[in-house]
Amino acid sequence: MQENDEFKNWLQENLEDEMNAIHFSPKARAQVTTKIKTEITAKVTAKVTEGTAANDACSLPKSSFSNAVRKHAWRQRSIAFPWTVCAASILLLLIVTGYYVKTLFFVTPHDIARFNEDRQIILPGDNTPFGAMQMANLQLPDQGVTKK
Amino acid sequence: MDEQNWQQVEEWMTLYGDRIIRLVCLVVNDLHLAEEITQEVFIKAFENTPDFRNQASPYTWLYRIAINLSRNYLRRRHRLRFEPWEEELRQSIPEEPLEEQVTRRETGRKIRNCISQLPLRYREVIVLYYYEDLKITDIVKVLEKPEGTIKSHLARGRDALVKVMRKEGLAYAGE
Repeated sequence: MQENDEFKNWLQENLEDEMNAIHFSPKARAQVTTKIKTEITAKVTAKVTEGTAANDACSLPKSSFSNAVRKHAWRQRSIAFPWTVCAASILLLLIVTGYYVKTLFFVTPHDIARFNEDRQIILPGDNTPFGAMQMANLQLPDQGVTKK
Repeated sequence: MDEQNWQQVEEWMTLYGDRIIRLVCLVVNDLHLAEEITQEVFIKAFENTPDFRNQASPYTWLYRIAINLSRNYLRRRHRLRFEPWEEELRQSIPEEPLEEQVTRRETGRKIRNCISQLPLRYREVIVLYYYEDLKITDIVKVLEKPEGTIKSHLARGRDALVKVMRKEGLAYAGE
């Protein structure tokens, strides 16, 4: 406990000169004063405007535009996402894309065997599509090829 | 009501303005940033004065706002910057300092540098306990953490600070 107090005293003594030179400047205080007074003025103006609008509302029909603005004010709010959320979203998107196109994943021999096991359509005549051979035969005389 | 709140905040600026900026300086280690944060502390205090009523002593409430704002700024910046504020301080001291004052200022600067190297959770507790001389119960209210956590951070923070000071060549006689 005593050691702690000694350490505290030593720290405070040595930091004293360094920290005592720091002050909350009059310029900074004036800026705070200006900002707060602006806020107070804005609040007073808003109250007066509301009061005037309430009086007008009794006599005039309600403006659908102002109602719509008030209703959809949530759309006007600014949104900020932290960088970590953006980075994580992009990474997730890349992983999902990679899985979908199987780019990022190694195709195992098991997968290759499974693909090979899938039923395949084998056509007669060296896998030539039906009708192509017959069509080619019919066109041969036109191209000057005859049976000897 | 706003006028009343404003007068209250003006009084707090006079009483606690210097203490708040010094506390924030030690936490963020940047004089210009500390001034910005201190301004925001009093603006927030004005906006939330109704919430303060009879809650706690004003300085613990203001310190809590200052610490929260400092954490937000540091989180946004992601890192600490060491801003050489010696130039501004030198200009504020009119007379030529004595040799021992120069030595103590140099030691103070090194201590500030060592404190800035600590993790934020230790730095806050060290500054509030050793520099601001707050009691543990007050630090609990400022940082809104359990007493056990505060004591643990204080013990580990002190050990970490002593280690860093030794590395920087600072001799603490009690060691």
